[in-house]
Amino acid sequence: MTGVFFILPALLVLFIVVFYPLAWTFWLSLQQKILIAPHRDQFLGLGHFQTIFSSGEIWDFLVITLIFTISSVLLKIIFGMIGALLLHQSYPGTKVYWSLFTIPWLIPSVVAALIWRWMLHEQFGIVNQVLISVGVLETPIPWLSRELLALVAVILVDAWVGLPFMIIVCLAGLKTIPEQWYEASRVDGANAFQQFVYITLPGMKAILLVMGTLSFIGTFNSFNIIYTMTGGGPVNATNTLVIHIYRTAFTEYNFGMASALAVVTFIFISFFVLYYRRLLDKEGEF
Amino acid sequence: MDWLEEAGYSAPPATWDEFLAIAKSFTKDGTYGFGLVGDNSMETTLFWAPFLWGNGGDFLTEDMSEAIFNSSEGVEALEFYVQLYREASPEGSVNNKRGDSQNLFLSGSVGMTTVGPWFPKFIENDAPDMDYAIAPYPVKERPISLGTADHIVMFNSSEHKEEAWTFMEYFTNEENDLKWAKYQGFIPYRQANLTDSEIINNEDMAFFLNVAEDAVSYPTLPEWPQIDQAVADAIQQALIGVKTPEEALNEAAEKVNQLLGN
Repeated sequence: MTGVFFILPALLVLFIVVFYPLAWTFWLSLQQKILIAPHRDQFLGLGHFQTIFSSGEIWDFLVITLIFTISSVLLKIIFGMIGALLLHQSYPGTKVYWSLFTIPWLIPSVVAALIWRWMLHEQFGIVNQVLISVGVLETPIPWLSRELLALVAVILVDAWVGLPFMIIVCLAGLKTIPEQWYEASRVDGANAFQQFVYITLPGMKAILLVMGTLSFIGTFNSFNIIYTMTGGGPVNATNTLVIHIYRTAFTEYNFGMASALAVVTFIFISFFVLYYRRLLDKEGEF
Repeated sequence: MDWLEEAGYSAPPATWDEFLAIAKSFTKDGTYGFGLVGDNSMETTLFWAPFLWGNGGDFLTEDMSEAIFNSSEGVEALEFYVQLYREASPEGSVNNKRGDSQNLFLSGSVGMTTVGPWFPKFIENDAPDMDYAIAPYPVKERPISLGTADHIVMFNSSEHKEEAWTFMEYFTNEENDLKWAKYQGFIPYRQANLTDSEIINNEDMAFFLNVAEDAVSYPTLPEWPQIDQAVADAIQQALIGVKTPEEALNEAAEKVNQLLGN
């Protein structure tokens, strides 16, 4: 019984910052609630959801979110693994590289996004400047103003920001694989590629699965980078669900609709969380 | 270097046609005529609005019950805006905010942009040697200027109405209004301050005071932020070319009319 008192503070915090806002969002999603039109507040029931699914825009935003998330997570995992393998070697100077690699992670993501927005700017940007002066380009490219380029740009920057953490975790994973396995395989005549496929990858499987899923959820809800770089534009090319919710809530002040969109997103993301739980349960046997 | 004289003009553009011609003549060797704003935010609506009004159009009907920005005047105004973008603005303008277009101007990349009374201070700080002049919006159907109304709001449900009102009175009394206006580079709200010597003797400020006579501002209604966003989205669609100006505005108008309960 005393145990209850010990967890009470934590429960209270959890209640205030998680359960209460969650419940309030569900409640708001059933209301007509536009902050600057309080005289029109009323109970709508499932009206917002009807609007959301009858207009069908949400599927476009879901597709953009999935393209953004999957590409960014794949990049993070592939390059995180490569970075970890490189840093796992004990050459002189790997510590220096290790520190350098963590820089993108240490910069606040809004600052990183602002820096990239600046570097990719058509007129002032150093990216165009460099590409033109080495002769790759003749005229500057407006990176963030063409639909496909803008999407690629925000994916790359998101991956750039998230990469260091992935490298650190993968590096920790590599260190858990016993050195003897590699030695034994070398004696049996395995080459580097075979060692990677038959020792490193299986050894890393648990970490890669868990990190992949966690990263997926984090990237799915990623806001700072896209909002700062493109604001969801041009013409919704980078308008992920989270950006769409933010714009509905804070530029249109339509809290009811934004809550309904948040509930729908919550349902989408719940599938991934459930999948993650199942993965964890399975890997627990490992 | 005087860009206007070099292009063979002795005065700032007075009409839309002149404006486009001058903007086009500035567009060469990495410089552009007009620092246009085209991102998907309210700043884009802000930049386009004077063209809509100047062409005789408006956002809503007088009783604010229906969207009319998709009228022929509105469509023509957006077509002109698109033409300015295609022929005299950097392609990256569709991701530019007001701050970007101002920086383009300050760095000498664009010859003209739209600014307000706060801007001379920026020039003083960032490009003190710049030789510049401020001219009214070029005229199409009628002279126009953009008036933005800021609101100080007290909630109906407030429990401290009296205190709030005391603050509003304090903040907007003649003395503080003048301080605020000078600090922000705004036109004072109080008529008594319009004759303040420091304001009328400042050449730029006197200009802004003068064009304020032609100023039109947005309609004030609770749905405005949503209308604003719908219009900004339509402008961006037209600029990028995924829709024609007419299609984009019609779709936005449909959205707005739904909002207004039609």
